Amino acid sequence: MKVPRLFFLFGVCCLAVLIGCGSKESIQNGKVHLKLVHFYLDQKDTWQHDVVEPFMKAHPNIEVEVEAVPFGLYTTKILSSAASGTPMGDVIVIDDWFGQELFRRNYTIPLDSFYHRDLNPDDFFTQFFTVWRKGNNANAPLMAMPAAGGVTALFYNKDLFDKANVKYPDSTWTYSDLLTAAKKLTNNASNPRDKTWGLLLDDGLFTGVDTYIYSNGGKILSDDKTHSAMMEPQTIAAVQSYVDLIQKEHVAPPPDPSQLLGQRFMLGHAAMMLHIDVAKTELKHATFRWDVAAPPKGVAGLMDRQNGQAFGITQTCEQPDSAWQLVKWVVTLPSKTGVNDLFNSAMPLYKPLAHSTEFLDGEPNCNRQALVAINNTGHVFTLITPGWQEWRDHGFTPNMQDMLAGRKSVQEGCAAIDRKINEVLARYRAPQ
Amino acid sequence: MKSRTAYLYLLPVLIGFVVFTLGPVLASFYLSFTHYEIGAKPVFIGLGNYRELLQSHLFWQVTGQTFYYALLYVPASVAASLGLALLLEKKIRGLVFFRTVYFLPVVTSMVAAAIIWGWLYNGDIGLLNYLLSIIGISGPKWLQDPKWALPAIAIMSVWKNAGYNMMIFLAGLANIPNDYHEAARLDGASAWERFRKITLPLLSPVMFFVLVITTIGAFQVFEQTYVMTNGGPGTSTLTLSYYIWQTAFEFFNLGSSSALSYLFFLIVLLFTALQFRARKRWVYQA
Repeated sequence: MKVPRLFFLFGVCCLAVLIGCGSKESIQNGKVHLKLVHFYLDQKDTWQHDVVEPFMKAHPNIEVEVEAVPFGLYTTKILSSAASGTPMGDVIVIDDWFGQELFRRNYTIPLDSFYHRDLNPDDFFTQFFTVWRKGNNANAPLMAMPAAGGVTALFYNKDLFDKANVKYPDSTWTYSDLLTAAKKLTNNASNPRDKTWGLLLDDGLFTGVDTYIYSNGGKILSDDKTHSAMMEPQTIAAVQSYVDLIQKEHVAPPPDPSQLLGQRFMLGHAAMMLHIDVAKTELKHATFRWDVAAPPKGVAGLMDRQNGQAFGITQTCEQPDSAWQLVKWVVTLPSKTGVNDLFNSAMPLYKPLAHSTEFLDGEPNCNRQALVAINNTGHVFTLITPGWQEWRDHGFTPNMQDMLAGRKSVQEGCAAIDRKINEVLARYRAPQ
Repeated sequence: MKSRTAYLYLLPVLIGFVVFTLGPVLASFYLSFTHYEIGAKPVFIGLGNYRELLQSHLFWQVTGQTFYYALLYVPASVAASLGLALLLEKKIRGLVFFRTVYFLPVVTSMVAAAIIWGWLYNGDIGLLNYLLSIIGISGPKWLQDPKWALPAIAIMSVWKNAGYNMMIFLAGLANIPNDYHEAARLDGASAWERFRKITLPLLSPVMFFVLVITTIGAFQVFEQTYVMTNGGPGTSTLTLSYYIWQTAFEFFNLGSSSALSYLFFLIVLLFTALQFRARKRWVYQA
């Protein structure tokens, strides 16, 4: 008798836990209740004051609850909730690197009908939209509404440029100009503490190397993203010229995985770096003068990888119309207030916001106009495939580090990357 | 009635154990036989994950690197902590201060320590290479060089964890009756002989315990490689724990990650069993 009672008690406790974990009703006191989940923990107050409160004021029948999750835990929480079939909220922010994982599982609903009903595509930098479509396919449903896009920027240290009497970079620069300037900016100090490098290279994390390869005529993936293109002659030539910047021209330091991305530039030991433009937030407290320019043009012109953040409405949201009102508000931000802070100063994809003084003059102050202008001349590409992080972390990055450090030839390194990409992509193509 | 009350008191712990320990252990065992990407339905594939891992070059490379790290770290860590314990066993001035100082790294955040050590190891402007240059040695590019990166992490780990084992050794040393040492001294035994014939045998049960937990800890190395090198340069510091985490939470492949976890568990179990088997040969049983 005792044991069944114990089980009963156990069951009651479990039920209590489950009830405690349950979600709120979508309609409370005649108001629609929505939950917005984002990972901008440091900007939590800005989100509350500049987005949520004005939205609720403009939509008195909608109440918004916000949950800010640390970025490091966000994907784990989102994907765990996807696994359990209980999405974390009604509207969620999605980063490009895990978006397709959610879209494959129909975690969010297609937004095309809302988008075409309420918004004008001409008002957006639509070249950034593909990565937010299911399967990364330009003709597939739009699974999240793009809000901000990262572009690759050429960061430069004005103090070091002035010291070496080198003209600042501008949108006319080619990679040949970059090399010429990098040579002048690299000093030959024997003491490593006084050494300055012309250029700091990304060692394979897609914060610049991807832009370099594509701009110089190479490709990492085939156009349909089903195979590697690492062994194509143009790719090998582009990678060789990238490696040569360290191994032959000696204008950039060898890779150091123990250093944070861009650390040498942040410390004033490198005069230039190609990096995703959100790195400017890290430079707020730099002790030197700096600015940004568009990346140089290669034989393929200016190529830029699509990335950024978008907002999706989860499959379990009971009030998708109200949720869309919130998504639309976040993306177009009628008040424009806070536009510079909300997405870590990444470029808004809604043109009126990107061209607004609130964004262009935002802190830290730099030539944002040059970055926004990339959208008129640059071409975007995307590297997101199923399992892309695996082929990057176990194939592209380690082999790129080996090539840059001179431990592997470019031919060997590209062949190893090629094998890994094809192995991973084949696994995802195979029926499970 | 009494037993029911007892069960009631135990209930919170039992619920916690079932929900947070037993459940995940059993679930991950089942998942290791499935193809399971987070969010999708698990598909049973039998030994597919295990077969794929055992045929993968990377798995064997990572396992080898984990063993290499353990080989570097365990003897150095045990020797350093025993040395510190022997030094701090003496009744000297400032004993509490020194014990606290040597224990401080244990309570320091691993992430903070790893970042600081990353700077110390900097090949160009790091303090370590600067000190080596004073005595005429040109230091390696510690964390940039695949040959040196894992030894560098092992050195940092020894510094970080030696204080913990030191406290265990100190407790063990305090339990050795002073009479044995006095008698040996009267018989003319040197300090080395007393250490070898008295201290070491009587400390061997403690040494065994320290060896087992340090070995298990070595196999589980994660934070150091995650913060200091991200598994690089190349994949030279990728260890099993990091590989498991990466497979689960970066590649979202929980099936493969669960299989890796069980292979990892078997390796640790085998090693611990070997240590227990060898115990009779060198551990003193009173």
